Amino acid sequence: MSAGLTAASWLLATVLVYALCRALHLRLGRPWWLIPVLPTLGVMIALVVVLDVEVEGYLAATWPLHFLLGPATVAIAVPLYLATTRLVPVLWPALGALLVGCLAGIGSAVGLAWLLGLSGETLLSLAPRAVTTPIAIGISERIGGLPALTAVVVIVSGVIGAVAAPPLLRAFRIQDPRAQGLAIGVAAHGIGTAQAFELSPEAGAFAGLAMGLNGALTALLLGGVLA
Amino acid sequence: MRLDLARMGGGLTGLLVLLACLAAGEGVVAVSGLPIPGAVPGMLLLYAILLYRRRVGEGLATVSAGLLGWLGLFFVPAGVGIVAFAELLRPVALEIAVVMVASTLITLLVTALAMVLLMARAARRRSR
Repeated sequence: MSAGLTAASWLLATVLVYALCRALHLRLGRPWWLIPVLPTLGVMIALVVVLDVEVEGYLAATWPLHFLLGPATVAIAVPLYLATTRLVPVLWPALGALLVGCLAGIGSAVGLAWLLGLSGETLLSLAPRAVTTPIAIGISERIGGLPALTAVVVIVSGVIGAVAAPPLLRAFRIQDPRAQGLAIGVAAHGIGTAQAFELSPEAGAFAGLAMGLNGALTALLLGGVLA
Repeated sequence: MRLDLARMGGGLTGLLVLLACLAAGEGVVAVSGLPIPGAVPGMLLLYAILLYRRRVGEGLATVSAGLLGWLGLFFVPAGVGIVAFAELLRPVALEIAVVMVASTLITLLVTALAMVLLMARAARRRSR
């Protein structure tokens, strides 16, 4: 197959599988355990492994999708702006909860890793666990972690957070969409934010805000502490 | 001759705005050397522009809603990259899994509870 045909086929397969998973998700009434990205990841990983394809080849083919994370992150400003009138009354509680959540995110990851006997590069790779993937990789590089391990941990954490958030928040009777969104954005970055938009636009806007600010705050805190 | 962006198609102006903010954000990161992706200052720039203009153009609204509705799709390539790290992760997989699950749940709960408590405190202060 030509390189162009291979790339187009992988792109087509990825978007097609995602579209089918999304349609199934909507048909089943949006169950929290079947967010479209999960079964899509399962199918695409299985395809790459079964067909014995170089992962680098798949990543090169689907680079346009990965690139869209940039404009999509910028686009979060739109629902954020639309939610601003709702943000103003809770500005100080939101900033306070962000700082608490940021410290909890770094502290719980580093503390648990240390308790379990992890150290050195592995421990440092886990420190930016809660942060959006591109920021987390940058932090990991600067503080002496393994960027590859950080990328994996952050993505899986995002899936865990997105899957666990709705039932966990329900169990603790946290019904305020602002608290839901803020917590999901701080704990589960972009994958969580996608899930928060499924809960409500307001939860999504707060998740996006929390994800962006938590990324910058974590970078400054970790960089400052280790400098 | 005046360049009429609206007549180029509403969605196109939205895409132009997003890409211009992204490029500006990448510029900020390149100049400052901050360990953050360009999309974060790009998002803050667009947010500032919207706060100043006090309206969201139709094209920007359309493109943003489309991109954000598909956010999960854009994570698939990065997620599939896990395959390349299978060997690296195997010896410490259990420990890393425990940290991922516990830390995510702790962060989620602590942040949500902090927000609920701080909002309740602020409400009490206002009513006093």
